[in-house]
Amino acid sequence: MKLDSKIPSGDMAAKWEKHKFDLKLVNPANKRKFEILVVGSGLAGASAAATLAELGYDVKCFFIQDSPRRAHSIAAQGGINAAKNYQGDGDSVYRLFYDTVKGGDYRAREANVYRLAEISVNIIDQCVAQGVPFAREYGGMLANRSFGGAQVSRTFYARGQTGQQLLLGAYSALMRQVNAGKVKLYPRTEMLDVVLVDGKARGIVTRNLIDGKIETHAGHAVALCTGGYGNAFYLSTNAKACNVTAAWRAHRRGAYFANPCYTQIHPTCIPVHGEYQSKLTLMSESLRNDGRVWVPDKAKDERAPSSIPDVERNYYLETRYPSFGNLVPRDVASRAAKKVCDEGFGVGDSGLAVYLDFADAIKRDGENTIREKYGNLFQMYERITGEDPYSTPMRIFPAVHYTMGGLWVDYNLMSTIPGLFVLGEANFSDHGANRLGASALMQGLADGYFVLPYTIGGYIAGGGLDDVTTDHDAFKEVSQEASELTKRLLSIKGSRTVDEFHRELGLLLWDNCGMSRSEEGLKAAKEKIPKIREEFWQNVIVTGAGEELNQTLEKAARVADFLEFAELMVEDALQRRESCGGHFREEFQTEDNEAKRDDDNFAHVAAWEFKGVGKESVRHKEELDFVEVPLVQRSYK
Amino acid sequence: MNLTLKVWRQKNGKDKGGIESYPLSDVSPDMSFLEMLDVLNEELMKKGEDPVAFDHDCREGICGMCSLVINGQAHGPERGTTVCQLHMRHYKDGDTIYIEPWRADAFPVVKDLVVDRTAFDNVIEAGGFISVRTGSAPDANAIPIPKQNADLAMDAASCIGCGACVAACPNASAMLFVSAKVSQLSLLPQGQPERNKRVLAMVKAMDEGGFGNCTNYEECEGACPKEISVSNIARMNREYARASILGEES
Amino acid sequence: MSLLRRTLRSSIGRKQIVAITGLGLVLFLVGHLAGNLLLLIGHEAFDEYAQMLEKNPLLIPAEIILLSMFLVHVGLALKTNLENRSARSQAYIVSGSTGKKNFFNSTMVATGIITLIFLILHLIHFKFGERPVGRFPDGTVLEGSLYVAVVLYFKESFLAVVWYVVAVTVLSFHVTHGFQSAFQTLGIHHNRYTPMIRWTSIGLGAIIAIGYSILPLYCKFGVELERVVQEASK
Repeated sequence: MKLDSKIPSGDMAAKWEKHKFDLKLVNPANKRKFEILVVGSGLAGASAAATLAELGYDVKCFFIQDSPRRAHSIAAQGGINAAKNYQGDGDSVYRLFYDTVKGGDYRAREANVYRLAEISVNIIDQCVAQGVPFAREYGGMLANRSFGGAQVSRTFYARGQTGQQLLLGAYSALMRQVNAGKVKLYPRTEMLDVVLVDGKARGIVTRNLIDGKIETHAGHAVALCTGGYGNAFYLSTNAKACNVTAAWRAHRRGAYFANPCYTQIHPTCIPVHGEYQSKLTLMSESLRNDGRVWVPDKAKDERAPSSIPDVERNYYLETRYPSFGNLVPRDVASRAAKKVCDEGFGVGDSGLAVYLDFADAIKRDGENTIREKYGNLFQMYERITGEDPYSTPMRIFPAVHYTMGGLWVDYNLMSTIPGLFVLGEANFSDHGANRLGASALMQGLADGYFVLPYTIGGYIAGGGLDDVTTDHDAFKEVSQEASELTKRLLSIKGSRTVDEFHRELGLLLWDNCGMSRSEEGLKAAKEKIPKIREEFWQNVIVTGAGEELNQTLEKAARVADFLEFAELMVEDALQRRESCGGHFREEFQTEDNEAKRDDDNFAHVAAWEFKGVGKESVRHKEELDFVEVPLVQRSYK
Repeated sequence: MNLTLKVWRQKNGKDKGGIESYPLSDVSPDMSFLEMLDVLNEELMKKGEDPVAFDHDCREGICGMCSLVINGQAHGPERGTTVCQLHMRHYKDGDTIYIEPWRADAFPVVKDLVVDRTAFDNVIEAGGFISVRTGSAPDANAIPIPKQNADLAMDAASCIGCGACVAACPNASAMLFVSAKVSQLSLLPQGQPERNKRVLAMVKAMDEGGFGNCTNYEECEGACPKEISVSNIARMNREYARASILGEES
Repeated sequence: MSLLRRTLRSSIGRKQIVAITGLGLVLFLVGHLAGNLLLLIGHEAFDEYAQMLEKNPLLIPAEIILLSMFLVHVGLALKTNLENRSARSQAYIVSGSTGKKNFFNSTMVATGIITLIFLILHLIHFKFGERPVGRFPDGTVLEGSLYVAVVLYFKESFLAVVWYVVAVTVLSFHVTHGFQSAFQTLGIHHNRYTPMIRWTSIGLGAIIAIGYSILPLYCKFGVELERVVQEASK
């Protein structure tokens, strides 16, 4: 199948406007005859479900938590970008577009990114109207802060809880539609598979997590808003329940998976402290606005950080990247931290940490200003580590945070399965090989509030959607398969726990497909993963029964999917013989250890087609044209 | 350190349930409370026993999923902390720790320590929103909002909907949760058009949810992981009085 | 829906009625205390005050209002309490506090019930009791004197003194939480003024406890009835 990205023709700035006009419309009175299944209730899912319902569609929204408000978007801290130029510092839609394409290391689709930048301004308007309490200045106007990868202040924020506030805004819009009877919620319900009828996505199979019932739901289109796959690494900043299952099962049914090797390692996380550790905690990147990153000049310097004089400190980001300093993009900052730690300058017991120091900022602005800006983050740090960051520098280390890869979608956000739309982190479209800070929230809401509601209309108005009910044989078949998978997991009764397998896989990926990758490591991982998977299916312990709340069973099914997915991730990393953004191949670096792209051979999206477990997937290419932003070596120096 | 855990076990909503005792050894002080439970569950599974079901997700104190009453205190002994951010360094060798679910008839137990908090969603559904169509909003800076009000609104909006207020309240009242949302929206100019309608509808939904009444114990404020102030409850009382006198429309 | 019906149906509405009636009753308590303290001045002042009240045509309506406030206060508070009990049918095995629960706010029902019992006995003794028959040890009778009735009542029974002091102390506990709680329930909360209200509440509780306790103690130990009788019979 040839990948058609359906990018509209015409000027970059006019593409979306033109496309919206070209899309066929669904008569308002007819909309209620169409049922849309939205899977996930994060920023993308909740905003899409609410907006589609507002337009008149009948919407069902499925999510694994007990309330839509708990989706992991809630944990985003720092902020959301928008090209409002309220600061008058030279920002514009074009600049946001440019920064995002460049920040993504020229591996994103220009047209999508431009649309994202265009829509960003509407998102802020929408959220303010919903009552999202963004930070304000004394005059009552909205405040902004700066973020990595940009030289303008365009990030809107609500203390360190921006994701929470935006999600609660989308959640309130969703609940309003629930109240209006236009959305039906399915809490604690996990999508297990997508059902295709005549090649189109016409429904899903779900498991009710409370009583274990396998259920089927039919609709005219399905929107997956199920987040990223960062938990493949076991330790990540993702919530425990984040998983690849919905995306992976859709992939198995024919949706191509794009760029799975693009994972983002966030530079400012609290370092790992023990084997039992269940997740990593991120400290917002906004901290780099005022915090200075350094390591001692002397390796294994055991002195307390405060007693190391300034001249014996290496502010390595400021030295290496004088113009962006501590605000370089995430991939650059993470790799720089790894580099100094690999060279033995790391601090803390493990030597896997660098200092993030606020002493200068506190001296300059006063402790109260810093408290006002970052109070809750400092508090969180203190709670976890037992150290007070007002008096001693934080210790930070990079951790897996976000995944730029995802199901391949065209300009309409539709995957290679007609009728299956993919939004937010679950798709691959807007961030290229590296996402800039404060852009994930922007993309999730752009997709849900402002893109899908238009493009889905075009798909539905295109016709060919006869009524299908869950009595159709396809539903019976798929739900049968889903039941069997559950039974199989329960019948193994092995001797290793699900987490043990997950940890093993995670460590393998972190070591070989993490912050830096080499052919050797990737090949080793490629060989190892099928073995772990094989052992998993013979030796995992899944206690309890299928017809009850069974958290082990849920986890086991998700890890089973990670075990299949990981192989694809490694394969993609192996085949992308260049370094770009979050994907750093040791063989491909410049003399001063920066990522070295190969635009001649790899300025494309790799979209993978599933051919069976253990079988080689087929790599398809979508060539990327860079018309507006010329391809140059990314530099933050 | 070595601990004795007394954990509430209940197969499902119909089961009567009871306390089970589990010894746990070699607990590291750097573990979070939930990581300690993870370790217990790994041990149980290896013995072929059913692990303890408990709600958790983000493990960084923001999703509001985790919900344990530890020795009678919702989210444990630390102020302004969710269970997932409670660390074992606050316990000492030989401690006996009682772990129970949120207890309120409005939050029925689903299994072990997992409860059903749909009643909260029902309250928000009744009116915890501003009715604005996607795309119809004016420019975000069109309405200036005094920083002080924006900050107060943010204080209230930081509620994570965990339900600790209900769990800690001797009356199982949901006033802090409901008032946080009512406060947030009533403090903002955007929330004014639906101000009266909202508070009446949300209080009605709260009453129908089977929660108890507030008698100003203020236990909720002490248990709230986001330290939301009971001044929000006063604000809701005020909003309610105003709305019930003026009626929905004005 | 009518305002009253809506208010009575809603949890907040009911509590606001409890708060308003409670504040009204506190007002009464203060007024009543001021009147009663006339006892310290002497029997003339006190009995004149009593007569003035009894002959006032507004007394009956005032009493009806007071009684209905009281009944509404008790009735709605009890209803609230019953609801609260049923909101958690399965109690915690271990109960703990997160800081704010205290003796005063957690004993409102108990202190309320004791106050109710006290009030009934109080009315029986002093309002509907055989007041005029103030028969002195020497056989003289002072008719119609509430003063004498009160003093005699406490003089004759040490238990009555103790009970009275205990009961008004319990009542003061009720007021200590109730007064400030009423403001919160009515939505009056301000960072600057709420601490003042809380102190006022505590002060009010203390005034009620001390003020009312003075009366039986004074009657028991401070009043020389013989002198009163001599003066009265002049």
